[in-house]
Amino acid sequence: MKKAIKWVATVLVVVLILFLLQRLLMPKYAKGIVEGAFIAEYYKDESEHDVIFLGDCEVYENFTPVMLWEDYGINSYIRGSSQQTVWQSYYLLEDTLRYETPDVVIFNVLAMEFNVPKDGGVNMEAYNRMTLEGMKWSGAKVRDIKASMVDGESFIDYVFPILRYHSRITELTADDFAYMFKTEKVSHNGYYLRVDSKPALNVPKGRILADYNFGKNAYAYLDKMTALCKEKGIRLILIKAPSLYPYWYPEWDKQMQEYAEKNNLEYINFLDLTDETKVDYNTDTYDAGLHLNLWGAQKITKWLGDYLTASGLSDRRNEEKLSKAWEEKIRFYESAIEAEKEKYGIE
Amino acid sequence: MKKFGKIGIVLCASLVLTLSGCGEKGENTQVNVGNTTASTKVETGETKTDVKVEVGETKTDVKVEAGKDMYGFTHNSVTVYVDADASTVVDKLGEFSYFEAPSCAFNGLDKVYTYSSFEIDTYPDGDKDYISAIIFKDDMIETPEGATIGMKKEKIEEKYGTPTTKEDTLYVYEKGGMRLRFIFDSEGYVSSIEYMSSKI
Repeated sequence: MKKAIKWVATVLVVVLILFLLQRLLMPKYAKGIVEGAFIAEYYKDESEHDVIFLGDCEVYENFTPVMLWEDYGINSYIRGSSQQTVWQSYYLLEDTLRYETPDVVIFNVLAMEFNVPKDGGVNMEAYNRMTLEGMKWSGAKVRDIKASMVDGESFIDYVFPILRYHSRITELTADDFAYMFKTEKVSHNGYYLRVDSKPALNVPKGRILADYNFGKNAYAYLDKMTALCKEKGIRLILIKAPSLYPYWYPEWDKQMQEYAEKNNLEYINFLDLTDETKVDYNTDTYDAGLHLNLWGAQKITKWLGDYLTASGLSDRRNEEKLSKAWEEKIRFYESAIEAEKEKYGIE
Repeated sequence: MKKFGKIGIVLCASLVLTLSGCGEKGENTQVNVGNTTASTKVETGETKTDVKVEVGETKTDVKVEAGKDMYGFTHNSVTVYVDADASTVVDKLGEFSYFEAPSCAFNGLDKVYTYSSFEIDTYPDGDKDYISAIIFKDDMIETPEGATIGMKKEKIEEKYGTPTTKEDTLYVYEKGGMRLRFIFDSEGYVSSIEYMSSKI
């Protein structure tokens, strides 16, 4: 009996040491590249959302859920991550449906440019980590990892990230200890806030492609997303955010128009709506046209809020519990705006 | 120590072996994310690349020898190779317009230098930028082997031989780890010529 207790105690101690080491060694995404923290933050927001955004940086840097709430009473969340692929968006949808069934899912179609994981380039593993590690364990996460891995990655490294990050032991910073168990919130319902401006000048045109057709695998996952939304009674809206770079080819746009028509979906290309949204690429982008700053995001969000309200989404600002939860978020948002303004010397 | 027992020693030893062994497996390839070091060592022909990348709070350190046994592009008497240090050539190739795109995965900028007839794209590694692509924009320039935009598919095969990858609208010639790509229109004429790094 004593021997058995010793065995159990020893195993427990070793497991505890491994757990603590893993917590210490994993990237925290608390400062600098904070985008890696976005996917995990969703689970802390327990309210039922009317709208869920899925996609890459073109969703989390171009739409502001706080404004959708403040001006329209729409409770939304952006489940966006850097270079999120269409299969990752699909599995994030599956994951989201474990917790809630939103009225509307908005998917940014730039992700269709990648047909298989290796299309994402040499940094794909880094992008994979930033999306997949934040997901809670479920069948959706397992399938997502399997669909996303590039050469050199192994599933076991996602199960035990310590195997992946052990070399960080010589590079630990004070932040690794400070945020070992708890990180501070870095997004605003998935939105990445910036207030600085950099005009969009010399934006390169897209290079000529050998084949403009989106790939079969990308379409297969878009089909799955469409089918799942239909099955759950969710209104799926395809969008192309108003980012000027990477280049959105007319041939790609045509394919998405045709797909939306064939599947009875809405497709909104914000690049075609500049006159209506009044986005000014001299002042409303912080990185020369890749992403909008707060002022640009407000213009796009206003257009979207009007559109969603006109098409039936109701105002929930009369819900006491939800309004209370948003009060705190709005305070955080406003203080973040002030901090950003101070950082960039904006009045 | 006695109380911790042999089991603990065995488990800890396994842990140490697992962790230390992890970095050694594979063929000199190790990629890490988030304030982490990654190193990739590729030896192809005479080309040797040694890259160290850190993602998250990024720090990079790169040593690249580009050019040997690769297809290169010559303009203004300057020969340009992919994976070469961009700072040594961009000013020598003529007037250009400039665009930069920040990365969402690491601290650094992808840069685009657009000249009158071609474009040079770069990727960051450490405090340097390396050429990721050279892209022809019109038929005013040609490759050292004499290929231009507008040339027939057959002419390209005459000049370069059988491509590594051959598709209806794309020929790819691989050399020294880089790719020289010819894109054809529906009538078989070259519509684009691209020198691409293996890293993109």
